[in-house]
Amino acid sequence: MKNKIIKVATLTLFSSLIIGFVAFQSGYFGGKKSSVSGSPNGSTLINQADTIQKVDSIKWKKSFLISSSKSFVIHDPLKGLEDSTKLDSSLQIDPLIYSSKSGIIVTPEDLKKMVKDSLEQDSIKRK
Amino acid sequence: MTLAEFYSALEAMGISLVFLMLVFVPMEKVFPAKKHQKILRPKWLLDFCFFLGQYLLWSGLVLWTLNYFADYLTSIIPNSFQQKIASQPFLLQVFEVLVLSDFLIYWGHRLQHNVDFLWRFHKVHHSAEHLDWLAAHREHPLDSIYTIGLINLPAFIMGFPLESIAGVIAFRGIWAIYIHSNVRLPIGKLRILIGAPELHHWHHDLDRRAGNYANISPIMDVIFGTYKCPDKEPEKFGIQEETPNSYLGQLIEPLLPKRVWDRIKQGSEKL
Ligand SMILES: [Zn+2]
Repeated sequence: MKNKIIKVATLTLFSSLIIGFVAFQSGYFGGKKSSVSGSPNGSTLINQADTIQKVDSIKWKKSFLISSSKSFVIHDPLKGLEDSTKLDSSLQIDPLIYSSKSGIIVTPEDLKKMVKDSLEQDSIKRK
Repeated sequence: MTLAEFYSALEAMGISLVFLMLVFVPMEKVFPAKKHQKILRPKWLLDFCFFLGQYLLWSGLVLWTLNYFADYLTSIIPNSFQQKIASQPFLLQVFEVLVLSDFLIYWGHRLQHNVDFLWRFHKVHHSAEHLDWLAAHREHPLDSIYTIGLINLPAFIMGFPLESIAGVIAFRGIWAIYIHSNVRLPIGKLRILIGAPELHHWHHDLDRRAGNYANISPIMDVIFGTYKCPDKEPEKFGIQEETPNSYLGQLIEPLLPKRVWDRIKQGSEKL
């Protein structure tokens, strides 16, 4: 009996993670769509394009972290940031930084700060 | 690679590692194919080096080469051809891309086993004597370029946007790792559509030409007569040749003529 429960639980975990991953890679919860097939030997799983396209990669990581950590926030923090820029012109972040196709490099620290700000309050402007 | 890029690759690696362990470790414990294989089995560290290398060293190179290759193809393929393809019903395009890709990878993979020059690089992947999700990552970067190039070739030629079937691509990606895992789970008829570990484990048999060259659906193997599905696990995985024990050795050995490598080996043994 106990054995059966473990088996069912394992299978449930396995299939939900795979379904979740497929959904994420197809663009649900703000995931980035994969545009290249990896090696059939099982190569790098998470879209490799992201490590090259810096800004995009930060964008998906943010979405990944947010959607995977307990809160299922289907809300784009970057969007929030844009809104707050409109409201508050004293915010000293170049809007170019978060337009996804630009090649400007933001460090993950910067991003964390931005995301945090947009979720909570604008602490950056107080600097 | 800038420091920030490296940092980002490191983060992607960390996330992937945790995720893959969550997906596969419980499965390998509860439904093991080889019951006595431990998670930290012999040579796990070598495979872990390949895992790290893929994320931190080679993914950029592989992608750059692929981009270069794709750009070249776009420059020689007539636009009118791609437009004709694009005017087909979407589902037909998806079918064409997947079948052509399976066909190419089947023959490309069969060649990797039959042509010595290709086997030099592919044998790195086959040198693993213990199969699990981590061993799936043991792959020479040049071997990766070859297979990833082939698998994406139909989409490049047809001008098909793979991101429109990103879910399918993602599933195939994770399933390719799954079929290496130390899992035995009967999925019945579904096997003919998506493949299974018990088929791919036979591909890793000591016999270099054991069959099962397809990775996802084994249909190509059935058509071309290389399908193999005994109801037990192979006795032993790996290759008959002697292979280097270190990550660096595994990377360099295929690049050098045999006598040069032998001389290096003798030199290092004397030390
Ligand atoms: Zn092979």
